[in-house]
Amino acid sequence: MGKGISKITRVIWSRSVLPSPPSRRVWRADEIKPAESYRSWIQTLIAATPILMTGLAVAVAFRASVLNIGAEGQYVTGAIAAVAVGLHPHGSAWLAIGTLLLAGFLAGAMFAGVAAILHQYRRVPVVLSTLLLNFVAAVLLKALLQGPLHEQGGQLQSEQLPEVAQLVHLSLHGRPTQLHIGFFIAVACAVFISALLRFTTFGFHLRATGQNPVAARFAGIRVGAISLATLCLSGGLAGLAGAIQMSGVPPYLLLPDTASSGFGFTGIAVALLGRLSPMGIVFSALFFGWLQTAFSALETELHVPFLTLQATQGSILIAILILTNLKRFTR
Amino acid sequence: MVHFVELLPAVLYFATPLILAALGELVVERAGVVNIGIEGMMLAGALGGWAADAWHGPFAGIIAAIMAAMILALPFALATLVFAADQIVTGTGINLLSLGLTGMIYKLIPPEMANRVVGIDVKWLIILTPCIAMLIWIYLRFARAGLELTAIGEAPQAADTAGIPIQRRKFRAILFGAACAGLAGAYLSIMYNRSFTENMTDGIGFLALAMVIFGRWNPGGIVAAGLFFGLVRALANQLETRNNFSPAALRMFGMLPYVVSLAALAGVAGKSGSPAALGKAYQRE
Repeated sequence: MGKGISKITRVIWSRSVLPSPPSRRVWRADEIKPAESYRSWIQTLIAATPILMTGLAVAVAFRASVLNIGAEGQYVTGAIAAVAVGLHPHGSAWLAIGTLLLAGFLAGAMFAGVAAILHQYRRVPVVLSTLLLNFVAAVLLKALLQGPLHEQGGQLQSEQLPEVAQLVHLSLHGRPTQLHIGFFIAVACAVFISALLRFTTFGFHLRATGQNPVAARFAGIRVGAISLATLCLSGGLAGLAGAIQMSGVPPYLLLPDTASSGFGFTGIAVALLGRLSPMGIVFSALFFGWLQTAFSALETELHVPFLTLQATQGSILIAILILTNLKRFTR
Repeated sequence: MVHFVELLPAVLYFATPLILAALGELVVERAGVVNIGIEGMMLAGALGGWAADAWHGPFAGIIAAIMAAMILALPFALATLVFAADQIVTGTGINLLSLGLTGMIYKLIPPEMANRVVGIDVKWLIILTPCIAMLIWIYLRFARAGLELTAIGEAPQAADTAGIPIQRRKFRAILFGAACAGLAGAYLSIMYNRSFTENMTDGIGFLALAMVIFGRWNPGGIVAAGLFFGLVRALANQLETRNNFSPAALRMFGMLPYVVSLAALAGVAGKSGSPAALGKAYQRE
């Protein structure tokens, strides 16, 4: 038992906490360091990118008391739209990537918009419609992979995005790394959302709606319209997560697995650990990204099933819920 | 043309787990608690039932399925009742936890165990489900405790003033809902199929949540709604086996249950009479 724990600790330490996995080779001073250095930190940043975006998506909605549980489905539709648009790029790389990201955002926003309209005009609970739309998105992905988006070769996957539609990768010591600029886009989104919530009228109305919808209505805020717009924004952020993931991370294509990434649900845990504040979410996404790196190292080194990660995320989520309400007893 | 008489068994096969899970959720929601974790609890029931059946026969399987779901209900009850955490978010956490745990434990079970699953005939649960619906109807309509349960969901403060132990009753309702979900999970893994696969519930728990609304928080309505969804699912399956569609179009039929349930919700959700204090944690002033 003790031996097992020390083994697990060693793998987590060397593969996810230390900047790069220990190497037996000693590099001479005049040699170019390989792109291997900082690999585990880079892995953490890559893993943090999509959950930072879905975490923001969930947090924006939760701040307005709109319980969007469908970030998963919005992520998938965003990914589908991004690949569909990105496969036929026009013009320069900037234009190709710009339209691709925009397509992801709009697709996610429209998909969440279905739930928003159902809530606004037919009083369907958002929780339920967004949950059910997750499954609609998953079926849609599988249908498209068998039909219009099917790769020529016969594999159940889409074509690879052309190079112009792939996000730029950062270089370190003159060598390209796996880190794409998507992480910085995600951080920029967090800054943008933070400013939106704090300094704009829309942000104020959003927070007022979330804290007390009745009071907000008396203050002349159009609560229904705010909820609708918030849900669309939330869906758009989740869709953007899908677009970034498709154009930033190899193999740059849609797989049947894309529908079961779990990023949408992890986003809920990320948002709550970040206390629904955009800047807090950046740090909690880094934590969950590190967790993912650690567990994928454990999977490759010690054959720990990767689903352990999901169980851990679930327990963390429940633990956060209990701990944040602990003050009821200390008061 | 599809023959409806031929569809009848398929309708019952699909409707049974839905109705069972929805009946459990009905009791929970009547007490004012929304349990989204029902999906995860079903999954836990499916794995528990399957593993225990392989180990010690179908009876042990049923017991283990109910126990597994109830164990998962404990953290849910702790967070939502004792700590007054948000019920929806807690339920999502339970689903994540269950998806991870069941997948993990399933990997640890040696594969040759699968051959030892005995299983039970589906007919027993198909017969039992309407009986449970009937009992729940009688309980909610005529039994004192059942009426008190409705009072807790409608006006918890009034119920508290009348001396009803609210948290204890809510806890019992959650346990009952979990037991129903576990049984529905066992139906999937040792009755309808005799195998377990990762995430095998595939949204049935969420459809059950929709059915509670569609059935207007009444056992009779839920049975009717369940049969309707069973019919939709059976029709979708029937259409999927036809060969005059392209594979992509065939896939789209899999969307039918979810789209129909959304459409059905759009039709009824606005006028439904949900328990007044649904989803709100009760705390004394």
